[in-house]
Parts: sequence; structure tokens; C-alpha cells
Amino acid sequence: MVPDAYSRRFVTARALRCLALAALLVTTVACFGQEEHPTLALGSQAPSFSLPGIDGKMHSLDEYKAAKVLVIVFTCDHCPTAQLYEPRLKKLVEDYKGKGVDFVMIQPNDPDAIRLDELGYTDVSDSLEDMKIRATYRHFDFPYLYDGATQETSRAYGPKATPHVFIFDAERKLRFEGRIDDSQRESLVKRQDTRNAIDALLAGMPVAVAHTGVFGCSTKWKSKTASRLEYLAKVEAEPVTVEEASGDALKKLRANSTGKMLLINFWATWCGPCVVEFPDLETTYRMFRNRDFDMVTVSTNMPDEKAGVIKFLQKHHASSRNLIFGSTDTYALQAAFDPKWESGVPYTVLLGVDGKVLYQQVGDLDVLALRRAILANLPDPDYLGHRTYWASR
Amino acid sequence: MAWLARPLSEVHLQASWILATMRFFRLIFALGFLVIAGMPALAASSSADAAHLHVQLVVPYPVMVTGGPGDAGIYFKLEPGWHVYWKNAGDSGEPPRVRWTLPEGITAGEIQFPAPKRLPLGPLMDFGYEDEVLFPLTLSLDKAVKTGDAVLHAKVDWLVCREVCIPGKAELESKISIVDHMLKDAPPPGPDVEIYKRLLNRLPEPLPSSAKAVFSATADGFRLALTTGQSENSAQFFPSEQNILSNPAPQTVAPTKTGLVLDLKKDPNMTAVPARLSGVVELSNGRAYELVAVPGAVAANAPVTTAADIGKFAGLAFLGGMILNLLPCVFPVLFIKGLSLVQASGEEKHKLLRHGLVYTAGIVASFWALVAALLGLRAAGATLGWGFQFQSPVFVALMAGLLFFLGLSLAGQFEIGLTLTSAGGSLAQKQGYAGSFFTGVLAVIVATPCTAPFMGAAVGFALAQSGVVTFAIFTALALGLAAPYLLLTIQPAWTRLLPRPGAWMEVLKQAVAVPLFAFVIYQVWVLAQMRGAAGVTALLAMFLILAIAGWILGRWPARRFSSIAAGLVIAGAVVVCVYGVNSLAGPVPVAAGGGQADAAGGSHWEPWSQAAVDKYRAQGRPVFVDFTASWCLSCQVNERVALRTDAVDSAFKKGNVALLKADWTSHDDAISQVLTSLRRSGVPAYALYASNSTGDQPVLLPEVLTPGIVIDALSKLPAATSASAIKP
Repeated sequence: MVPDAYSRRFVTARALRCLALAALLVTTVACFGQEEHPTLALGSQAPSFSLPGIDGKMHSLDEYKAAKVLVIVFTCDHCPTAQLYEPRLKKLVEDYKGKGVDFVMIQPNDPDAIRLDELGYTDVSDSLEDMKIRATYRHFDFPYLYDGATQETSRAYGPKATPHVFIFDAERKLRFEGRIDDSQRESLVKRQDTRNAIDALLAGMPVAVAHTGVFGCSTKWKSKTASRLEYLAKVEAEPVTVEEASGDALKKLRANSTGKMLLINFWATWCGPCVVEFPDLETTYRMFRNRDFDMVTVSTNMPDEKAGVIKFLQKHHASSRNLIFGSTDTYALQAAFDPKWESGVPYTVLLGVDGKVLYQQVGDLDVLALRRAILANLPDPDYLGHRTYWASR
Repeated sequence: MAWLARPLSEVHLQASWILATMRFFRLIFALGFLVIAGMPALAASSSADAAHLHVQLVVPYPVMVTGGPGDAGIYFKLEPGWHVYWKNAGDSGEPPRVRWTLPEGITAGEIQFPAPKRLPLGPLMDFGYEDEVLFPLTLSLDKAVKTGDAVLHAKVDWLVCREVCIPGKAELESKISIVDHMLKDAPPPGPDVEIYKRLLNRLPEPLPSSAKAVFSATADGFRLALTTGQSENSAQFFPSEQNILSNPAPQTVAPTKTGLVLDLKKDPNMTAVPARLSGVVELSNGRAYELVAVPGAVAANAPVTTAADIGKFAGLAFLGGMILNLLPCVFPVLFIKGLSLVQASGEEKHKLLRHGLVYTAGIVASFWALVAALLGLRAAGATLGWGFQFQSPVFVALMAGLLFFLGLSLAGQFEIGLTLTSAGGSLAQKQGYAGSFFTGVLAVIVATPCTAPFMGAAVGFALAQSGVVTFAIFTALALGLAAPYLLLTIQPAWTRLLPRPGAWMEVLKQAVAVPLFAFVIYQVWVLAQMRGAAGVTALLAMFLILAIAGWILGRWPARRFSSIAAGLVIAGAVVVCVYGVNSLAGPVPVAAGGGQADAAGGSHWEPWSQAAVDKYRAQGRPVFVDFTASWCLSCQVNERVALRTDAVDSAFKKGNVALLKADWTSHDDAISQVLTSLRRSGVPAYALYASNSTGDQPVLLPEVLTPGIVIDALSKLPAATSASAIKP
């Protein structure tokens, strides 16, 4: 009943619309398929933000509108490169105090997107609480804001790695975007890109080098959460074993001939503080095990309590090497390991490659102190200077 | 003092020699001390100092008699923050242990654990003791034990923790002396007696026999109901066994009138609901009891009563009382009263009114008496509901007899004064105010089993409240019952609306006998449920004897001797009735009771039990429980009008509803308890439980059922009633 001409046009119109929709769909999928967060282009206006800081307050872009130059540095806790730049950042802030330059550090990573094996160079991760710990430990004297919740600000700015610097002039137009200086190792630095840019802007001159490449740890976007969970699942599926240890085995353990740094923890199923701290220990193991580090847990339970010990270890997916005292003479076995040990558990000891005691604690574990002791003593062939940095305060 | 005279140099030499010797001996002494100190095994001490604690073997009365018991204990004094553990240490820890080496003939009992404290540790919860604790135990001495000095040797192992856990051990010894008889009355106390006496009361006591502990499983744990006789507002429960409760979970306390209800969360690793819940409960004022809770219905918490609530329920009670007048068990009395009113309509206003007020007073007084008795019985622990009188077969039989006798009079066999409307006996024969008073009392007696619609909730509510509130509610009920008659007396004008006395009165009187006899037949049926055919025979025999008494009264009216004779015959009838019902007829098994009603096709009703409810719910089926009794007229009507119809039957079948009948005809504790927990005090009551146990509270249907109400309630059941298992 509908006229032919009409129906043809109708059909064509519909077909075209479908095609357009399909094209849009494909493009959209393509766009979101890759994690494209383009870095802010030079000359762009600074995107506004409102983020929580380590002081517990919210901070926004407007707060700094009085500054002639605004330097936004995307940095984080866990990345060894960012850590090596911490002293330099602090010095920057100090050197430009009172010169009309404001510094804002923003942490862009989602802590849930960081895999355990990416935490091998740090004591804390990148949550707001962790940021507070790092800021206190290293005496940060600048705003340090957390964007890990939504990463909205970071998506607007598009940092490629930590650290990544964005310098804005008085009109808040982007005038420099890139690295702090040209070498991770301070002794090899030749060009101070960030300082040069700030100085140029303060003098009202054009910025000679407005853009540089960046090196550091890639930004941990939310999409990487799946990868973290996958890795965690793999780790938790690793086999859990327990072997009985004789007095001789314990003596050998103490001597540490593994060639690696060795963390030993004595615990028992009936020991409340041991049970409470065990997850932190396992996490520490998983963080550092890809370096020259290993962990052994030793249960001081009697051999006939092995079933309960295994159950506990399985519950915690303890894929580290696990021992259990091989005889009922608990005191003798404790003395075999360490004659000075006054038989309390938990007893944690960190042994260097030569058997030297790097850290020791009877009772509640101070996980941060332990991890810092590990970082201060692990060989750092990949990030020379890292160990020294952690050995100092 | 000759030595004073010696030259100084000599004195000097002597002094230095003495000093040297002293030094030498001091050295020897010190060495010896070191040697002794270094051999703890040989130190025969009753106490020892170990890491973070001091442990002592306490023997308060070191003189013990052969054949008798002896007291001892292990005492710990702990450094601040350090703790040792209870017999169930909780999420971590180990209780202390003692191994004894005792002289022959002496045995040691197990150490007793005082009431513990909760010791939180991060996400864990342990149970134990801080500061100091005494673990008492009893020694038993054989008759044949050698008298004289003896040594008790204990090897104590323990775990003491704070931020570190240190296993420790000590060997302790204590001397005792064994005698064959005590010289004085009491054994002489030793130095340890102070510690012993001071800490002995920390042991939990067994739960007194007047208290009760019941528990029921909930979706995520348990509810433990403790009845101590007074309202409790604080408690902590420590389970004896591991892996039953979640130890760190807070325990919410809901005080009740006679105790409290504790909400406990279960351990996620709990495999099966335990048959018993044993442990220690600590109440306020340092009371601690060992208890073993049995499964049972836990009463729902009594809600906070507001004045508005009380007003609302009083209003409902008043309405209910008024409606009671219409029920066939009451209106014959009202009619009889109405008749006497009609006859007395010529009297002055105030006298009528006064009669009305006295009648009201009679009703209110009997309600109060009943409530007082009920509260008294409730306080005594028996769970009785409204209508309890009709659970006694003898009461049923006697009531039937009374009403039969009354019906005979109304039918015309003999005359009793028209003011005779109260229960058989000389009291009822009183004219005037006394007659009015006891008419009121009769009205109450007869109205009791008919828990009228709207009244059920009010009564249930009131019984869960304090005595004052209960009395208020019941007063409203009484006033409602008395209101119609009172109205008539207040508004004498309305008596003009009442028909004038005439021949119709006689007809009316005889007509009233009909519902009265009908009610008697109903009572016979009730007794048949309770006592079977033999009971009915005894009842009918009583009726015959009563008829004889009535004949006597009718043959020789208004004569003294005939009244006496009739009285004797009636007494004989009562004897026959009581003897027949109690001895000749035995109770009919409950399951058979009501079975007849089910015979006619339709749904299959099973006898109720809490286990059956749980079983069907676990199977994923909703459960409908019909709380009924033979003597409850509303129940019978509801069953026939609503529950046994085709429409409702098919709705039940469609919903795969399990049908349970809780027959309260004879006294049943379990049913009484459940009714209490549903805030109903009597029957009828109808509870519809959804299948998955998201909460315990069922939907309660109104006391007047229609098929529509039932089908509507079934349709509102949550969709997830398919065979889903109870959430762990």
C-alpha cells in the first residue's frame, strides 16, 4: 500500500542510519579498546581538579591561582625512579620557595592496578594512607594529592610515567611537559630540563625545550586491575608445602648459604600475634621474591600438629618455603637456631647473604621497618643508588 | 673485755683475718646460692617466677584428712598486658595444663577455669585472663592414705602472650600433712588461704534450676534466650567449643522481662548446627553461670510500648469485648440479662443503672482475677494462654453440665429465678446486686475460649507487657464486654425499645435454650476429642443425672427439701463426671484428634513440630501452621470456611506449601512457647513461614479467615521458594 518510491527512500535512509551507527560503534570500541590517554598538548589550558591530599583536605587548581608558575608533577610511591627523584623534588620545592612558583605532586596510580611483583622496590604501595606514610618518612613539604580513586585528573593530563612534569604559566597554559632532568642517577645529570623551563617562565622568556621524553614507571591505569588479579590468582594457586626441620636443618638455616637475603619467621598456630601478622609477611615475600630475596616460615608447633599448620598455610596461600619443628623438644630446636632466642613467638629475623642479622624482632612485626631493612640491603643492579637511598633517611 | 687491752696491731691482724674469713665464706655462700639457683629442678618451691608472670601452687589448707577432699589451685600473677588463656582459648592461644606427681592414694581433679575475659587481638578474639587468676581444683584422698607429711608435685605448662607468645613451664611443690581426723572443727588455714578465698568466687556457677537457657538457629548464627526471672541488660557468652561461634563478632543483647536474648554470629567454618550450646555466660554484677542451652523457641523481643500503642490496643480490646457479646457462648447470658431488664423496665432509672454497673464490676473483677492468676502462673514459668481453662477435660465436662442444666431450666423443665444466670450454686440464686455481679462473672467464664477477632493481637500484646499494661488492656476488654448491657441500663429510654414483657418472653426463654443446648453439643464434641467415646458416655451419664435433679426441682417447686435433694443429685452428677472423665476415659492421642476433618480428600495436614517446620523450610517449601483447638469455635469455623475449601487447597498445592496443624486442645508446652514467640496468647493463630530462612518471623494471618485472605497471603510469598538450600 505504501508507494514504491517512498519505501525505497525509506529503506535507503534506514540503511544509511544503520551504517552510521555501526561505524560509530566500531570507532567507539576501537577507542576504548586501547588505553589512549593523550598527554596534554602544549599551550592547553590546565584542566581543573579537586583531589584529596595527604593532609586530609581537598585541594583544587584554583588554590594555586596566585602563583606565577605552577608545576604539577605526577609521581608515586612504588616506582624506584620516582623514589630516586624524591630528594631532587624536595630540593626543587625548596629552591623556588618565595619565587612565585607553586609545586603540586599528584599520584595518578590506582593501587588496585599494581601487581605484587611490581612492588619489589618499595615499602608501601600507592594508596592515600601509603602516601601519607611515605610523605612522613621522607619529609615531603609540598602538596601530595591522590588521584587513584577515579583517575579523572590523570586522564585529563595524560602522564605517561612517574615522574612526569607539567609546567603552566600565569595564565595556566601548558608551557613545558616532560622530565625533571636527563638522568636517573644524579651524578650523571647534564641537563636540568625542569629547572630551565621554570627559570625561563619566571624571566618571561620562551621555554627553549618545551617537551622531552619521560622515563620511569608507566602509569597504572584502572584497566590494569585485571592483570593484578590474574597475577594474584596465579600466586595463590602455587603449591603450599611443609617439611619437618631438625636441629641441623635449623643451624644451616641460620648460616644462610642460599646466596640470597633470607627472611625467617618463627610462628605457631596458637600464637595470636603470629596469626595476625602472617598475611603481611606473605605479602612481603611476594613483593621481593623476584629479587635476591627468599623467605622461610618455621612453625614451632609440635610435629603432631602438622595438620593444623598445613591448614593455616593453605588458607594464607603460603607458597614460601615452610618448615615445622621436627621434634617435640621445642627448646632444643630453638636453641639450635639461635641460642640467645628466649623462646617467644613470633620471632622474625632478616639474614644477609653472609648470615649477618640485618633485622630482628621478637613479637609484633613492624612490617615497614622490615621492608625498609630489606630495601636498604638488597643488591640493586637495575637501579644503582636505590639501595643507598634506602639505607639513608 | 680482756681483748680490748690487746695492742692495736694485733687487733688489726685479727680483724683482717676475720674479714678474710668472712669474705671467704661470703664467696662460698654466693657460689652455693648460684649453684642452688642454677638448679631449678631441685628447688622445692611452691612458686616460681617465669617470663612475665609468677606462678604458684596454692594449698589453702595444708592439713588434709584421709578419705576427704583437699583444696588446691594454680595461681598466676601476670605482668600488665600479659594474659593466659581459658579452656577454650578462642581464635588463638592454649590453656594452661598441670601434670601431677602425688603420693599414693591421692588423686587430683581437673583444674577449674574461672569466668574469662574477652581479649581482642586485631581481627581475632581470644578468651583468657589478665592481671591474676586462680585455677582451683579438688584433691581426693583415699581412706588408706598414709598419714604424716607428704609432697604435692605439679608440673605446670602454659602460654603467656602479649605482642609475643612465650610458652612456659614450671615445677612446683607444696608440703601437706595428712591426718586421720581433724582436731578442731575447721582445718587450720595456711598462708595461701587469702589468695584462695579471694579468687574462688570467680568460678562460674551452674545455672540455677529456676533459670532456663534455650537457643535457636538463625540465618547467620544463633539466638540464645536466657531466663533468670529478672530483666538483664548485659551479658557475654563464651562458648566451650571451638568453631561454633565467630569469636570476634559482637554479641547484641536484647533485654526481656525475665532475662535476655543474645544474638550470636556463627563461625563461618561451622559444619552443623550443634545439638547443644554450652559455655559460660557472664551477666552484670559479676555473675557468671555455666550453661548448656537446649534448642527451643526463642521469644521475639518485646517492643517498646508507647502510650499510643497501649491506647490502640486498649481500643481494640474494647471492641473485641463488645463483639464477644454476639458470640454464641455469651449471648444466651446477655439475653437472659436482657429479659430480666425487660421485666424490670418499670423500675427506677438509677436502680437499673446500678445493676448495670455491678454487672460491669463483676465482669471487670473476674477479668482481673483471671489476669492476676495468669500473671502469677506466667511468672511461675508455665506458659499458659487465654483459654487455658478449656484445655482441662474436667472443666469442659463441668461447663457442659452446667449449661445443660441451665438449658433444661430455660426449656421449661423447672423454674429458676430469671435472675439466676450465674454458675450453679447458691450464689447465683441471690437476687439483686449479687445476682448481677455473678452474671458478669458467668459471662467472663463462658467468653474465655472464644478469643474473638481483633482481640487476639491485643491479648498477645498485653501478655508480653508488664503487669500494669496487661491489666489496662484487660480492663478495656471487660468494659467492652459489659458495654451493651451497661448502655441499656444507662439509657433507660432504650428499654422502651425493648419489647414489653409478655408471653413472648416464655417463648424467647425457651428459644434461648436452643443455642445453649447447641453450645453444649459443641462441648460434647470437644470432650470427645479429648477423652473419646468413654468420656462422652460419662458426660451423657452426668446429663441424665442432672435431668433427674431438674425433674426433682420441677416436680416439687420452691420446696426446701426438693432443693436439697436436687443439690445432692447434682453433686452426684459432678462426681460421676469427674470420675468418668479422669479415670474411665484416657486421653486421646493428639494426632488422631482432628484427623476426621482431614479424611475428606484435600490437603494432607501433619501434626506440628518445630523440627517439621525447619525440615520443610530447608527443603525449600513454605510452611503453613494452623494453631487450633477443639474447644475453639473460631478455629473450627475458620477451618471449615477458609482452610478446607477447594480454592485454598489448590493454592496450597500450587505453592507446594507444607501444612502443619498445631493442636492445642490439650496442654502442650511446645505449642504454648511458639504462640508466645508469635505474640499470640491463644488460638486461633495462623503462621505462614517462607521457605528460605531469611529471618524467623512468619506472616501471621488474621483470626477471621476467608479463602481470599489465605490465597492472598500465599501469593505474597517471596519468589525464591524453589528448592534452595538454607544459606550457610
